[in-house]
Amino acid sequence: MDGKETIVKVNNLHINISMDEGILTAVRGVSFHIDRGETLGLVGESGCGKSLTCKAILAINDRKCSTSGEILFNSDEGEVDILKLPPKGQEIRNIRGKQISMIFQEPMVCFSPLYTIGDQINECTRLHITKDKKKSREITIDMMKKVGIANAEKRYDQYPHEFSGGMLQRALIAMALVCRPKLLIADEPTTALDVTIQAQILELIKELQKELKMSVLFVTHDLGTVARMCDRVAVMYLGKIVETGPVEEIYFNPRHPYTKGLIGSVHKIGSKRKERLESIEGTVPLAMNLPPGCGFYDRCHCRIDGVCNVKDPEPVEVGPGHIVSCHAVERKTCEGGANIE
Amino acid sequence: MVLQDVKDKNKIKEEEYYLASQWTLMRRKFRKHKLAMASLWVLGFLYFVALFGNFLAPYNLVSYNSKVVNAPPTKIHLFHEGKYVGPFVYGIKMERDPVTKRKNYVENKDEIYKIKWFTRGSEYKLFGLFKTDIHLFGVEEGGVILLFGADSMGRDLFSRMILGSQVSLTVPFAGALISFVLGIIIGGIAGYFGGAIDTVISRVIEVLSALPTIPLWMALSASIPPDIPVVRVYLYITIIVSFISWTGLARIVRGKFISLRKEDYIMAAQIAGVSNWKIIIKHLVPGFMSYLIVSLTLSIPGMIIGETSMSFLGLGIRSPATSWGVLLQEAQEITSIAMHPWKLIPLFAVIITVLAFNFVGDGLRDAADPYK
Amino acid sequence: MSEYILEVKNLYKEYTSKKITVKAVTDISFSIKKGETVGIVGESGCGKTTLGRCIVRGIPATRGQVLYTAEDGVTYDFLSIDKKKLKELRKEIQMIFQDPYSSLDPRMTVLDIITEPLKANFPKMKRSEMEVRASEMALKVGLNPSYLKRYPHAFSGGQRQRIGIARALVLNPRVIVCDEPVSALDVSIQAQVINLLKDLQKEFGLTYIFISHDLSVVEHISDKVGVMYLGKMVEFAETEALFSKPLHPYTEALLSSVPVADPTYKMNRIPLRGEIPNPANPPSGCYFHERCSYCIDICKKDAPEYREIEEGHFVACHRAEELKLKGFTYDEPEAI
Repeated sequence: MDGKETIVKVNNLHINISMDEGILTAVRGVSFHIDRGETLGLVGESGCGKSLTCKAILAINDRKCSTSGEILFNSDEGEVDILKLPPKGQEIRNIRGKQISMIFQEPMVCFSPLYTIGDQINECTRLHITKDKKKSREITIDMMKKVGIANAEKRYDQYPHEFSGGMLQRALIAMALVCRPKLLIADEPTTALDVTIQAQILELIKELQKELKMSVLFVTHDLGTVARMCDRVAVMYLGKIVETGPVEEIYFNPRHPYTKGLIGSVHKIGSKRKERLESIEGTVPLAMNLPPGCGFYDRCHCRIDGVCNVKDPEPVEVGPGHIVSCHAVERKTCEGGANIE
Repeated sequence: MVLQDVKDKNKIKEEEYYLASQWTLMRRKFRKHKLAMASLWVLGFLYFVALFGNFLAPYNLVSYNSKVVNAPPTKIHLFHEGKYVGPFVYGIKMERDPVTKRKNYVENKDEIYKIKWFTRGSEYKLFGLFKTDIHLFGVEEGGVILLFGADSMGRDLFSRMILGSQVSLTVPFAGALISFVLGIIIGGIAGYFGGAIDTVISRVIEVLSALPTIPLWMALSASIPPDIPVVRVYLYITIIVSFISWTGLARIVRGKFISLRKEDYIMAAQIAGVSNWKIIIKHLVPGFMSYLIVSLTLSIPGMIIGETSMSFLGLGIRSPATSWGVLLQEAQEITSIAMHPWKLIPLFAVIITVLAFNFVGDGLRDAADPYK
Repeated sequence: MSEYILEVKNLYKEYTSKKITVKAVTDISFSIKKGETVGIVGESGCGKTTLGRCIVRGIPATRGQVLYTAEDGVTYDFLSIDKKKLKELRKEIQMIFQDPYSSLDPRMTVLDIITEPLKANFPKMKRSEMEVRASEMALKVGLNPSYLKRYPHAFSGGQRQRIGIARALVLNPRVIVCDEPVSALDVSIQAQVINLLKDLQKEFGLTYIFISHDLSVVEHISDKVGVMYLGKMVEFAETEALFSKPLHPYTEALLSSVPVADPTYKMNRIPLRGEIPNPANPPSGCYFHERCSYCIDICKKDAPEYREIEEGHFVACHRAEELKLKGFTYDEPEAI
């Protein structure tokens, strides 16, 4: 895109996990990019590899994971390949928490019960911004106010068990954003929260994003949240990105059979009731000893024998910024809705 | 072709996994724990020896020979003056050292006693059922074979160790059985009924656990009259040893009961009309059984040491019955250990047994929840 | 004979421990006709799961009635019938649970899980008959009957939910309380299970009480919806009426907070201040008054009465008649 600065570019990311039973090919060649100020939604169901992908960007994956590919990040020191940085070195630690931050699904387990919330958020401030005690406390309290924690001075000295779920998530966001990172990775940040709190948190993230001109990688399986928050969407299935595109395209013109099935299986609130939801038959296979060809083959109603179960599909552009990896779409043989049970 | 074979093998493995019950999964996981498996073999060997004890030991509990008091372990030889004779021992002669005046046992190379297999010796009842007098090995008439040396009464330590293992290895099991039953019943009642009953039982458990065991055992065993026959003493000791250990198991059972009751499948069974009794048997008991077995296995070392300690202090098994603890009594004196170090051998037996049970318990605990 | 198959009347459930009383469910009343699906929605602490469990007598209610009209046409208070009658009638009201991992005993085979209710209620039934019935149920819920000898760990979350559904159906119930049956599942699997539930309802004439926090799912499957807040029912109406013309401020806030799966939808959220209060220490007067944008003096002092404002539309709000609240218009995307 002209004039748009790319913050992070993931190229052909592969992550394998060695287990007792064999090798789990969790991520099998994922590529995407995020520009400055935009929100990319990473959508997929359990087992698709989205969490591992996020952790790879921060290089915080387990040692059991062997990673290959490129993750180019536009850092303060120029473009770096995160995968090439020594995992325990100074460079990556200068990026983590400062230039790339992450917030997680369950804020309750992200805080140590032994220290006050203020101290824990301040740890980040003191590490990356200033070691001065007084100044860093001021900066931290400022951030706590910004995320909507009332009585920030008092709450600074309170412990996690004195905060509710929504408040903890705000505290987590404060900790992630206090250093004004270029990229925020949000891994299902509102899934464990009530609907009304969820709305508050999503609005907060959007506000802060605008103010800090931050890019966001928003990982979720909830299509309502994606519609609300994201500019572009990448749909993941079994370790690969099957479709990427602007959010309206994905919702109103999904081309990949999996995306179509996914969109069709959600009832849009406030709309007329359909008799049946569209659903995708079968279940996600285990990412071990996968047969060659497209991962969606055995659940796809558009599948072409001899093609889809032999060769991996290549990404094909079907519209401006809209890319699909599907043989049937390439050959223009797939129309209509997803498989109806 | 090859791909299909691999696929088939994977499918078969998958299918086995799907059809595997809790016990099968546990067994598989246990097998992977090498130390636990090795320990299982060690324990198997020890119990085999105990089972065939009377047959394997050349002498019985009462036989002694005053000529070999405190004699060192007898050396087994194969060659006499360069010629191959077969396994044999020399005679033993006692000599006094001219300077220190200490007694010394020396081999008498004039007397040769061959080792014979399946000899006739003292009579005993195999497994307590069959009368026989055949022993695995012995020496020709006139000789003695003291593989682990002799004690201060001239009794063969090797035989006494083997026969002692029969007590030392079975008391814990009998104790474990009693603890098992008591633990399930009392812990189950506390966990199932909750409320006041639970409070009372929990406090009782806490008090009992806080009691210092050795003084308690001493007090209890001192209360056994000295004229009670040996076998009954043995039974009482068992009961005393298990008196404390049921509390640990009861706690485990109670805890598991309480946590399992909250599981949705219990409520599903209630809603389907399954009776309370059936729920306990079909759902709750299998739920905690694996944990109970682990707990049990890990409590056995404590019982072994308990019995050994008591007998060591002279409070448990008494002559002529013997256990490893009784044998270690002789090792109380420093002179004893300094001059007759072979008397410490039973100590290693205890250590090895306790370690083996601990490792097996570890392995079981790691395998215990196959669903984690 | 009653026109309703199930009527919940003034149901209360309180938990008392030491000096604290938590009012999990307070004075809930609603009625269901045969073949209907009633959705119960609410956020954490609203008591919807407790309500469900009280209705099936999985936990004892503190007071209240559940009037159930059985197969024989007689209406019983399900909560006060004796043990013998309970055993008889229990078959007709069953439950499906939320967590596919704790709702199946991992130590029993699927066959045993599905046939357990049969063994408890029909002790004379032959083993072969039970196996046939279990296979029938498995097929009905979309499971391969040859998998019945497997243990639960062989199945995925969605398949386990199907097993739970088969177990609930095996006694031929008439009412099923579904406690968040799809919340723990992936989106595409949710759709499978929801379709299955609807098909089964049509085939067997089942009545559902569908408890969920997911408003989209509830809108899709329910004929009527009840909204709960901190143990009380704040609104109850037919689905379209509730979603398009809510009469309670909490409902309005809830509806406007749900993210719509449509990127062109302009969300105009009513900001809901504060957090859900502690159920052990609820606010005075109307439980919702501290967070309500329409709060007036009387709301702080008096708890509002639960009354019928329009036909079949119940609300507990002092200002129900005068407020003009916003819901969804059932046209295609535009700002509300």
